[in-house]
Amino acid sequence: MKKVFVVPNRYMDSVMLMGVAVRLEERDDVRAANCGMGTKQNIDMLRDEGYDLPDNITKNDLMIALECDTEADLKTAFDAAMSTLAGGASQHQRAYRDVSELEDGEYDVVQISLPGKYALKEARKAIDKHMDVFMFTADVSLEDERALKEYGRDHGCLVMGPDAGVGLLGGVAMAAGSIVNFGPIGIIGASGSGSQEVACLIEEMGSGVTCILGTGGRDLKKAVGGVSMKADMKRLDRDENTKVICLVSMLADREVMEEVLREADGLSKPVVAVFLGADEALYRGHRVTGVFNLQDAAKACVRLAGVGGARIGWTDQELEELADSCAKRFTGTKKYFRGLYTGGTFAEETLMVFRANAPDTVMHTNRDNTKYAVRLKTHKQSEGHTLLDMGDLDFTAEAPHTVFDPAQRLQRFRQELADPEVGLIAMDIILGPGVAPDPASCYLPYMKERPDVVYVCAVCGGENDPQDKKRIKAMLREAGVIVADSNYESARLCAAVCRKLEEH
Amino acid sequence: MQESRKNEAGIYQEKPAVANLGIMLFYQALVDQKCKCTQINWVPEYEQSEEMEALLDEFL
Repeated sequence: MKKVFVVPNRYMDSVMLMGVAVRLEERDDVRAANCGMGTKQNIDMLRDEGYDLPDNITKNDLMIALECDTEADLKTAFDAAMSTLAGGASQHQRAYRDVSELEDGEYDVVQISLPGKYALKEARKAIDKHMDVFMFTADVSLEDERALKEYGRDHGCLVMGPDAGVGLLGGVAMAAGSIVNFGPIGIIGASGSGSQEVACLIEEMGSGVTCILGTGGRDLKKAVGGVSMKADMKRLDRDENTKVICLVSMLADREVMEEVLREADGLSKPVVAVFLGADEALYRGHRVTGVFNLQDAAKACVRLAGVGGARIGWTDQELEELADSCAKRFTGTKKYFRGLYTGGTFAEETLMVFRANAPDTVMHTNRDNTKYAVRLKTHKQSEGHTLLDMGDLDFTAEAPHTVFDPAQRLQRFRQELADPEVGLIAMDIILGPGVAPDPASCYLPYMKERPDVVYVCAVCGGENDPQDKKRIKAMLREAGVIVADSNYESARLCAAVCRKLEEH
Repeated sequence: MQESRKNEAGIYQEKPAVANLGIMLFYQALVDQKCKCTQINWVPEYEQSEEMEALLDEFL
């Protein structure tokens, strides 16, 4: 039997609600569960699934839809859901209902992850209070994004996002970012996982960062014009602690990237730029140190800052030897690579490395707008060599993002392991105070059951992240996983293995 | 209070005080980092449906 429980005037965020639904479905007494706010889209979806709903539900109401065998099971499951939600809310202060109620000067930054149209309103209220804005929310039009960023810039406020996943301010990791040691390098990133990787590698090499200013993934699109990146460069040029500035982005609008590089030419400090997918011509004639992968960006920053310099990565010979030993493990029916990535930039960087180092390998992906792979027919089923971006809407519309809850990737990992043609699985493991507290251990029992498969992981995290990077790496190695120093190294190894398979 | 946490360039020199609106995991992460923070108990503001607005326009 199916029933929708409606809790009036109770707002909960979608990440938490999807997590509750997943936990409910793990119960033996629940056949199906769905939790959401009473939006028209959610109401229509539940009605399509055969649930009866009253007509007076509003978008302020929380809906918990359950399918169980008995009325008693429905009640028990609903009570469990409410208990979980109450647990999540119990520690929160309840003093404010919106940004306008905050006392002036009491808070410096507002971190927003509301639906787009509400996020914009609250962000403007924050700027009016001279607060900086960090916006995780992504569903904002490019026109609104530009207007908000210009409004913030004109009021002297930082506007990080929309669509900012990572930031580091005064040593505090924002959203899904990592805690990274203080040092002389300032990072401005239009790529969340890219910025986090560069910062963490800088730390790994013995240096550190003044801050990570995330601009949001669309800042260098033509309609937005790089408003935040340009404003942030000027800030870091004035910051006495920042000795080197690093710009991180996926490939964006050529004209905007060139404008940014021209502005960088006028700064007083050395600038490193990594626009993933860019060609040498983009950087030519500019003062910046232009590089083509995240690891080289970190190395260039450390070299220019003159602090740190510990070696990371495999030498070419080490890589060849390792790839040889991995390729020899492709016995019987094994012939394919499967990449399960949570960071979009990690997925793209891996595809780029494959194209450069294993050009005969045909890769399939669910990523849009990449020139390095063939689009999968469906994200639900891998074909041949496949690299999945599990942070894409294909996956996040169905379950919490893997970076917050590894359940969805674990399910896919098991699906790939069940495919007798799979010989190599690569994954990124992302750490930080705002992400899954235990992102890796769930895979280990399955890895230990199938030691014939090659596993390659790169761990992106800071020394001070709560998950304990050293422990996670040791645990993975103990399970037989090859732990690469960076995503770039992981991609180099996987591409080298596939190249050897093509050659034989 | 706000200005003291940033330098003249607008870069934070110490932990900022953060108001979180939305995902509670992010609020908890701020608490865990021992950062001054608050979770804003936000609810969507009331909006008239188009049908109701049309009716009101007719009567007012």
